[in-house]
Amino acid sequence: MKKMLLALLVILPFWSSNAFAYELEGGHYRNPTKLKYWIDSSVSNAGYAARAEYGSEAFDSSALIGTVKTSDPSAANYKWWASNTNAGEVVADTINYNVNWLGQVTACWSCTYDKSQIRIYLPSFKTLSWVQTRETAAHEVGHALGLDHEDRTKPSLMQSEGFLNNEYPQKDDWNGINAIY
Amino acid sequence: MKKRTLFGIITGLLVIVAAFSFQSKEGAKAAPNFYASESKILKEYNDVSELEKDSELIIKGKKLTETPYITRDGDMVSGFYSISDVEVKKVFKNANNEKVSKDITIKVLENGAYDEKTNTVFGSAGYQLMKKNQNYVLFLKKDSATGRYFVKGAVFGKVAIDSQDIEYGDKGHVKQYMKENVEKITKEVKKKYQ
Repeated sequence: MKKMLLALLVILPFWSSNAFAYELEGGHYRNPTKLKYWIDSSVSNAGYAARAEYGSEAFDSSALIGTVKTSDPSAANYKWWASNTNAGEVVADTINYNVNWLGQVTACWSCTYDKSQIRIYLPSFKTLSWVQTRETAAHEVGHALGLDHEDRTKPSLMQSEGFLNNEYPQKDDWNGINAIY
Repeated sequence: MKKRTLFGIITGLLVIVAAFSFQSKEGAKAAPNFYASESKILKEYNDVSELEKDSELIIKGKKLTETPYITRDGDMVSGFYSISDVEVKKVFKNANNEKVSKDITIKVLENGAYDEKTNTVFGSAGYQLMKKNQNYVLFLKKDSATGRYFVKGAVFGKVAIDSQDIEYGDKGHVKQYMKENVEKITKEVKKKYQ
C-alpha cells in the first residue's frame, strides 16, 4: 500500500503537467461547429490560398470544431489577409473580436469570439518551407480558437518561436481544444 | 403645476444627456487600451549576446515621431504597424557600414500602432510602442527594399533606458517566459550600454 502511494506521488506531477500543459487565451468561439472562413485576394494572389484553407480546417478532425469556406466576407468568422509590408520577424498576426448584440466590435482574448482577423506578412512568410507555412496557418487558427502559445511542453503547434516542422495539431493542442470546447 | 412638472422633466433629461455627452468626450482622453495580437515570430532571444550576434545595427537613439499604419475591415483592425523616426545618439555596431552616425535620423518599423478611433494601442506579440523623446538601445536589421530598420525579435531588440519600466505586454496578457527574458535582456543592456 505504501509502495503504491509512493508510486502515485512520483507519477502524479508528470501526469498533471502533461494533461494541463497547454496554455489558453481565456476565451472561446461562440459557434465552434459552424465556423466560416473567407480568404482575401491578397492571400490568393500571393499563392497562399491553400495554406489559409488548410489552416482554417486544421482542427476539423475534432467533432467539437466545424469549419467551411464562404465567399461572403460578412458571414466569415476567420478572415485571411496578406501584407507586403516587411514586419521584421513577425510572420503572422491574429486579432480576435467579440461582436455584441448592437453589432459593436471589441478586440479581446478573454471573451466570446465572433470574428478573427488573420494576417500573414509575405516578406517573412515567403522565407518559410511548405510545411512551415501550413504550420503557421494552423498555428494562427489555434489562436483564433483560443489556444495561447505553449513553449514549455513540446511538441505543440502553438510554440511561439521557430517551427515544429509538422503542420498537424499535437496531443497537447488537442487537450487544449478539448478543455475549451 | 403640470407645465412646471413637464418643464422639470425636460430640464432633467437635458441635464442627463449633457452629462453623458461630457462623459463620452472625457472618455476619449483616457489612457489608451492595449491589445496584444498573437504573433508567430521567427526568432526569440534569451540574452543580449544572442541579440548582438544577430543584429546588423545596434544604436542608442531617441524616438522623435511615429506614423501609424492601420488596415481596417469595417470597425475591426486587421493589420497595423508604425514607422518611427529615431535620432541616433550613439552607434555600437554597424556590421554593414551603413551611413548611420550620431544625429542622423533613421526610420524604424515598430510592430505596433495607436488606433485613435478605438483609443487602443495594438502590439504584435505584446510589443509596446517606443515613447516619444525617450532614449532606447535598439538592435536592428535593415529592410533592403525600403531602407528602414526593424527590431530584432519584435519585442526583444528594443530596450527603454530612460525609465525603470519594462516595455512589454500588459497586465492582462503577458507571456511569463517572454517577460522574464525581456527583463533579463533589459538589465543586461542597461548594464552594458547605458
